[in-house]
Amino acid sequence: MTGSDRLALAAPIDAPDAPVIEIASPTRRDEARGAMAVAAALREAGVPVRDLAVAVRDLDPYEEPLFRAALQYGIAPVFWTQLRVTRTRPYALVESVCEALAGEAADRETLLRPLELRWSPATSHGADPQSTEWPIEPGAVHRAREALPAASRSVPEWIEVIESTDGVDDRFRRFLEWLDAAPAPEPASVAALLGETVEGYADRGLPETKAADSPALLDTETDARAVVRVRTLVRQLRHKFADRLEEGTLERSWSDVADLAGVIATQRPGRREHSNARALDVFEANDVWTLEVPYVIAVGLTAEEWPNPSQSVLPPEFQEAVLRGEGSSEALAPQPAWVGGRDRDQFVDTLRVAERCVVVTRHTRTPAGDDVARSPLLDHIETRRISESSRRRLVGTERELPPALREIVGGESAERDERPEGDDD
Amino acid sequence: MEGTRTHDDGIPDRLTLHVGDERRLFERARTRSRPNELVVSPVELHQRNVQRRLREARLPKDAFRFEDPVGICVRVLEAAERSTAAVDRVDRLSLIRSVLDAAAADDSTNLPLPTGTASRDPRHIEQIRTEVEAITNFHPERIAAWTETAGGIDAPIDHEAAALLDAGFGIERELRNQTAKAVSETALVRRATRSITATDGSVWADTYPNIERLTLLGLSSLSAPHTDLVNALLAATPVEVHVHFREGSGEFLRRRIPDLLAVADPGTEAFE
Repeated sequence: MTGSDRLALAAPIDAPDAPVIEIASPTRRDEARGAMAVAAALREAGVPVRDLAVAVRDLDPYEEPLFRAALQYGIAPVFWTQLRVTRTRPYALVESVCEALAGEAADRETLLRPLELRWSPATSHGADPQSTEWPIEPGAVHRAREALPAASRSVPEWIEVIESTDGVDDRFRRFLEWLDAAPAPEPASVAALLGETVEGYADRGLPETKAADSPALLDTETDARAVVRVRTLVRQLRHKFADRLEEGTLERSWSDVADLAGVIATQRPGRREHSNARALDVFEANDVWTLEVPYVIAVGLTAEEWPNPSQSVLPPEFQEAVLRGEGSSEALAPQPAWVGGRDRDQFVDTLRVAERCVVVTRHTRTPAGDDVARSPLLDHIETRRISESSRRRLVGTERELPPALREIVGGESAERDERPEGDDD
Repeated sequence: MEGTRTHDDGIPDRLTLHVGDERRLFERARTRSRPNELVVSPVELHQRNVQRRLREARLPKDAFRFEDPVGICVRVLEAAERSTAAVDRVDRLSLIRSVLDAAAADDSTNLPLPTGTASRDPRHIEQIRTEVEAITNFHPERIAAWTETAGGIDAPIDHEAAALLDAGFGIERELRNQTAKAVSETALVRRATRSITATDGSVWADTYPNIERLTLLGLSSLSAPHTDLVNALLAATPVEVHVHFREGSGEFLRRRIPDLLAVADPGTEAFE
């Protein structure tokens, strides 16, 4: 390692395969409108919405203006973000039930997993809410694991095994019979069965968390919030599963149900009433990594927002020494994000996602009228800039695609009205 | 380190470093009765993106099991019958607040706090702790390297950098005294790293008997905790490790890896 390797973080970026079109708008709101006008105009030109994606370095300042602009152009956006609901016990329970039902046979671990996660029969189905029978206590699950064979079997075969195994009580049989009675996965049956699972957890699993919790009940609160989220998720699952079956993109299998639950769980809540595949995906730039989408609209290419190096408490001189990695600092783990490395990654990966065209947008002034500079990341690549008159025709009522973009969509050569790079403003 | 043969370039035999090039993963998609490859990414949506690509290409995902680094460590600890309870950020901030309050009430405290206006803000203290952890993994060799590196910088920055190490290290130690749980999920990663080393890989074999390869994807950095986990896997298990960095920073990171892996005894902590 030599200090010159540090320069690798500022090396040129390979040109993307797809052409890059740049739209500069006066304000952030204009920029959001421009981005959504591009999406709307592309759709009118016959591009299916699933062939479009919007990528934003940081959604926070853009979600609201993008959402408003989307509504203005009649587009239903879906905002994707990281949610930790998949780390919660109620979610894991729903997933484990799908897995136990997936396929012809389940091994011991798959079979016992829902019970470890406190599966309990829903009280609405006749179980006594006061009974302490459920959930099965961890010690009993552990003893069952010791007593049962590991290999995969069908549920009816498991029932036979359990009946002939000492020390595995009747509650295990009850759980297996519930699995055995599970209907084939149809939208309604999925919602009913998983809904029952969530309610069983709310009735019996949640009190266990509370009993074991500290006086501040922080775990209980997390668990209770997760129950609410998973309940909503199960309702959405019913509609989305129906949509996907209709589209033919999913099969009637419990493992596809589990996959779909994962998809829904990682969306930002509150915007998912448009539960269909006809919605426009809006991602944070970090999250488009490795996707392949024909048209990508990358929003917020300003010097202030993209790159946006991580805020570190460490003095820059120390960061620089760790990045250079000479002498003793070679053992210290460097964080490229200190100097915009993560932003570079996200920028490059956003360009790579696009198969046909990238449209980059930015704004040139703040609400107070101060100048906002162009992202230096754009200096690494060639862009075709859209003229101001073209931009106005794009966001206006005629919603006219700029010629450079029309050319790409139609594949035909159109007259260019863009000025050469560097000639804007 | 012992047991890990290396190529001339300082990269251990069973470690392959890539910059981008994720399509290699898709080439390994095939129908199998059980997964033989762990696909690990710290970002949850990245796992979903890989699954989406597989689905769109109509490729089977049977060969892959998707996890994040904490997830695999929790599984390892479960197999080792070790505790997996960890304090989350919300609880950690309130613990830090009580540590700060106690320190303020007691002049004799030896908690080394940084000077400055933000020094009483639990979020500021927590950020110091997480940065020290990401860079050193609280490993004695890296703690020493930090001190030496700080000493090579001009005054007064040298003292500032050294004081930040003391503060991050000090608050981690105080937090350990406050809770029986692991201080953070990253502490679980360290615990699993030590467990893999201490059992000479047998706990890993118990957890993932069919896994032949671990692929780490979508990394914009390789933190010290993740480096040490990889190091333990290479030294104590037969698993092959593939790391895919991202294109903007990957070349830089790739060149730094041999030195980072040269830190022996992965997962060791400098707490007495």
